[in-house]
Amino acid sequence: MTAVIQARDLKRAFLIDDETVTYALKGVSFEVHQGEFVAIVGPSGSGKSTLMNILGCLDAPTSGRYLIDGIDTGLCSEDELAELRATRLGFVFQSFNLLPRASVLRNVMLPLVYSRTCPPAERELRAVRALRQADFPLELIDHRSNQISGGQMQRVAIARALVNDPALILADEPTGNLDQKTSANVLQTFRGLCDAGRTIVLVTHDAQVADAADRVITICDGLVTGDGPSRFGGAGGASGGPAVDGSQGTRPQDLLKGGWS
Amino acid sequence: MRTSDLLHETALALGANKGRSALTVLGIVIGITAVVVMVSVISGLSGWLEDNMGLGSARLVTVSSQDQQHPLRYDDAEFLTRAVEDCEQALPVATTTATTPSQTGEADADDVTLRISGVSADYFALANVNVASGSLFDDDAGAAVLLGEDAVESIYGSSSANVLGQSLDIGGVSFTVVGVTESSSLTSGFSMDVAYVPYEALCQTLLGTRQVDSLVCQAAEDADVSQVAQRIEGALAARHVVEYSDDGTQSAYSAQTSESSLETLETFTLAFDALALLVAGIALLVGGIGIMNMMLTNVTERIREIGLRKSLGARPSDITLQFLAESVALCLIGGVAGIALGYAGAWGLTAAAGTLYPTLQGLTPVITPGLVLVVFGICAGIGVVFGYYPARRAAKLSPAETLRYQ
Repeated sequence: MTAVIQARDLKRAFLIDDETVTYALKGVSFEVHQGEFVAIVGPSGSGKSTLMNILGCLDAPTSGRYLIDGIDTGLCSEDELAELRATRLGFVFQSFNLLPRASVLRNVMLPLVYSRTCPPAERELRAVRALRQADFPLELIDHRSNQISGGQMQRVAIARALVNDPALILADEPTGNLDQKTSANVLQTFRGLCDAGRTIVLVTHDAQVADAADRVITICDGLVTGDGPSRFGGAGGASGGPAVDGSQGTRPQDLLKGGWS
Repeated sequence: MRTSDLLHETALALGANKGRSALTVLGIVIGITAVVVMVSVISGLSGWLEDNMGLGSARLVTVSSQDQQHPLRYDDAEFLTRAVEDCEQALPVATTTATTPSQTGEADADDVTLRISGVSADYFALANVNVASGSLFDDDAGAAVLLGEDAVESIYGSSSANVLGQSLDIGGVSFTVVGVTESSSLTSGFSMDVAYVPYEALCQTLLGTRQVDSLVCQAAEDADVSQVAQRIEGALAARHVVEYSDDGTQSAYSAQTSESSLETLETFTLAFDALALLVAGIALLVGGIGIMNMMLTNVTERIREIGLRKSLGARPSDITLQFLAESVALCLIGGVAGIALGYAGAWGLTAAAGTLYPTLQGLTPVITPGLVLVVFGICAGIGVVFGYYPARRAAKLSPAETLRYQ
């Protein structure tokens, strides 16, 4: 299988003040192959958000190599990184991050505006196709994005992540702002996309959400401490299995307190 | 990013903050209004001055003698047109003063002193003197007189008195009034009461001799007027065999051009222009700082949006362009409003001035397409200059940090 992500000994240092340096990532290595549904889990402060930023080409590692789709991001200029984000990456955020005054359709088309490869005439077609894949009710596509529900907003965000046909979808706590039922629906959507051949990396600090994935990479204190199949082999989380049925265990939203970690 | 996308984003962003955008733009509107009002009124004013001061006749050269031993002679006129290059016309003028009894009917009214010019018929076109009523006279019209409007008022008590055909005793000689000349509105109140009579008639009656006090000459269209004046001085000096030096200090004859007064006018309008530019510059600087302030606030407020756009693939140049487009659009909107307000303001101002000071009637502001273009250029320039720093700041933000920003 083709490796969509190749992370080799990624380290990321932050300067606290002139003297003190702290490492958020202390040497992280793993690979993600095409069609995989991977969850990266870890508590707040574990370094998973830093890792997520590097995977999304929003930040650069202090040392180590990161290849996406075989392209070494360390060799890319700022404009080339922007091009990578525009053509090979799709982001889904916890707080949806839609442009509130723009229509649903315009929000989904936004990556195509920046990608330069999609002719304007094709934008709407591709946006509608992506919205359909994300199970968004198409009669609402002309609504302003602040006039729809939270679950619908996240579907718009997923459609936006899909519209440029990316090699990798990165989801950062995608269910963090959603209720239990909507969360399950959204995770099911991800499952469906994975079954259709998409590569998905989902970052969460909620073990139950991670159960929706096939594989779980655990990050703790800047290092990979676990990498293996999820507890229910991808059947949990999304399907309303034992973890999220509400009768036992911790519900996802009880764990999500810090917002973006 | 395509231009159409850029315009779409700009319209969306400006529409989001209409109130704040409008307040910010107000600074630019005021600045542009000031520019348009001042520039249009001043260019209207200088055009008006040229018309009213007869400065359109900038090709005139007035020759007079400085030396009583060497007065101008009647045939000097014909000599100058023949001998001096680019001297197209030369007309002798004789001047004198004489009194005429007041016609107001009041018993104790004083006699009126007239400043009388003996001129040929061609003089009026040359000196830009227009007839208000009646007609000009021919060279052989005999004892005909044209009175200035002020003179009519002085003699008859009212400038609207019907004086045509009346006979008037001037210095003991009876003249028939054939017309009234317009007084230049600028000089009215300052000049003496003027009257024009045919040159020959004046010489034969009041003067008794063919006296020439000045020669009014016209330089050719493309000629350098001051050079023509110098040539005239030289030619007269040579003809009358008097000492002459190039700097003119020793010449018995002096040839004055109206260029000197034109220069005065130009300095005057230049000074006004400079003042206008200074005021407008300060206003626009303040307006520009307002734009910059708003754009900086804008960048801070939309920091997550910037992060989002970057995560979706926007290049730094896309972000720069987007924010620059917003500030330029703001400034151009301000420019349109400023031109409209300035146009209205300039007309209002000149109308008010005309009401308060009747002599200023006929003064209209001049707004040329060039001025409008320059204003739009200035607006776009302000948008770019004051929008660049905030836009670059937005573009340089790290995407990871902007997305984390709450």
